[in-house]
Amino acid sequence: MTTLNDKLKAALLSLLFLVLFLGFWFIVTKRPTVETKAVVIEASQVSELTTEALTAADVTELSGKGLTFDQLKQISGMGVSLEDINAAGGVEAFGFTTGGVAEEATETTGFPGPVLVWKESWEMLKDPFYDKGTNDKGIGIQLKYSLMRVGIGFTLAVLVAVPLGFVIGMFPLISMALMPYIQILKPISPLAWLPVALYVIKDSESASIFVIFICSVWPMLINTAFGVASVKKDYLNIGNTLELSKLEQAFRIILPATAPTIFTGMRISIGIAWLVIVAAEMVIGGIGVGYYVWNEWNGLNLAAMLFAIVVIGVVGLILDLMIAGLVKKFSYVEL
Amino acid sequence: MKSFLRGELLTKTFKIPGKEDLTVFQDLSFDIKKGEFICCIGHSGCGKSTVLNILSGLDKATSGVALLNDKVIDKPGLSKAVVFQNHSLLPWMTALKNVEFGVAAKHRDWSKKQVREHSENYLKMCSLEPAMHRKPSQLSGGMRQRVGLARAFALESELLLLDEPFGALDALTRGAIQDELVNICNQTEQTIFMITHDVDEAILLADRIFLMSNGPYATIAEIVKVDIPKPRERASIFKDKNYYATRNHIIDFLVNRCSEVREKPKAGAGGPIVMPPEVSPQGSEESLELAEQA
Repeated sequence: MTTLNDKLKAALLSLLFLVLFLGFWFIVTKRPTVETKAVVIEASQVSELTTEALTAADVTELSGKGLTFDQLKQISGMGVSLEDINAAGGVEAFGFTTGGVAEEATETTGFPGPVLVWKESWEMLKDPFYDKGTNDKGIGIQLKYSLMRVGIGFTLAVLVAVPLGFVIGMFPLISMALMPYIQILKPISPLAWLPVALYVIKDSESASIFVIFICSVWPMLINTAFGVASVKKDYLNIGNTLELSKLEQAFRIILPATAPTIFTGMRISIGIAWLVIVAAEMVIGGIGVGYYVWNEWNGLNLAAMLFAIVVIGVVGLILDLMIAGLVKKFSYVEL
Repeated sequence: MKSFLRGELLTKTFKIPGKEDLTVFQDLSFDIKKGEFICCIGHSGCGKSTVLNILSGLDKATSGVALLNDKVIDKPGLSKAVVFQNHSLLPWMTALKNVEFGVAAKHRDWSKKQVREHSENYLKMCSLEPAMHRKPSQLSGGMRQRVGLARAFALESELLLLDEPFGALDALTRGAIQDELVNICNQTEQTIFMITHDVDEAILLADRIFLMSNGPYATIAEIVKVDIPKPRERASIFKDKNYYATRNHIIDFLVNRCSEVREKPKAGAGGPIVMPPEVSPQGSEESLELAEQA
């Protein structure tokens, strides 16, 4: 029995781990801001660089900003004055880089830190349903498509697996006849079916739904069959003594007795389905969270990619909790 | 009187792979009248529970038949309510729903209200009113057993089969439920076949007690008619002059004779139906006084 106190401790510890992780992430991805190193140019050389536009004082100032002798030589060759440079927005406007590099500029090319990811996430969450063409849609729209595919594929799998599992569980002969095929089909990666589905169905949308169906079907089928086959004889005897019909026996006794096992199978299935949809969408493309991750990777928008990965995790958790709630609702204490 | 429940040459043989077949009991015959309360006593392994299961239709005899109202018992049904030692309630239903489930299955034309009232009456009879809406896991062992009994009683079937219904209960609870069972029996006049290990319980409840010899090849060695007027009460039954005579007779059987009477098995099952001998131990007034002095 966990007391409130224990829960509080656990929550605090979780929070500590999160802070540690974020801190680690922040430190590892932080680019050292390179201090602008002043370049020291000797007085004899300064005279070489001074022109009508550029005074010796100007040269000293520019070298103080980190421009090397060669760069200064080019600038002096261009015949511009310090005012011109400042008016244009600094030496960078002329294509020169100084020894110091702005932090913001590096973060877009290196691995993003937590701050940037948070900023990006906020942008995405503020308007999750924007639609700016084929490759630029909000995370909400992507999720909608992924969830729809999982929903349809999973529902179809329930409709097939539960009745079939019932039959397999109730009739040992059918169980023995079908088990070899189930055992062979079960370990096949759902993605291996994708080309088959694409060729046969010739529609990427339906093919991805089929892949979800095929990966969700096995855990539910096997759990239902196992649950039905192992219903306590006592419960069946109650039904027999009460002269229940076969159908009543199935719905009033076997189904409630097996419900927790069936829902546990569904919980495993929905987890697998959510894993598989990301991979399937990466392959099929078009739209969906899996494709979104891949697309952001291709565009090297790593912050958005990381955000999408976190979203996938959170949605998976929500799906799992939903079915876990059902498991709890229908579970009973065996006596 | 017309026979109500009848066993004819019941034999049960278990096939054990790689070993000799095990015949638990052979040529069991008996006759039970309507409204009788029968207790069956015998050591473990003599096949008492198997006999009960055959009577309920949940098990089948290897040879011989059991007849209820002259019809062969070949499958379980509503005419034969069973209460097992492990109560076998459906754990996902409340106590009330468990009873209602049975009642609704029997009376398919009843309205929900009728089913509920009928079920509630029997739960009240078993003193379960406050616990009606709890699930079996939230009930104590004694309460669960009473729910099982309430369900069986509520079916109002002609034959009630009880397989050590109080076996798993402590002595106090057991006593209380026995009293309830006596009450309910007086009200419903059902025919009851009950298996027990408790001699006092058998004498308190039964009209006749079947004494089974030890297995294998067990049989009903004799039938003890309990000559103590009903209604009996736990607190006063031992004051009856026949109580100790009956009790001593049964204990003598269980301790000394139950393994003796086993006959060398015949070549096979079958043959003429021989009913077991019936005895009715009688005690004198003096013996009662002696017992009191002791």
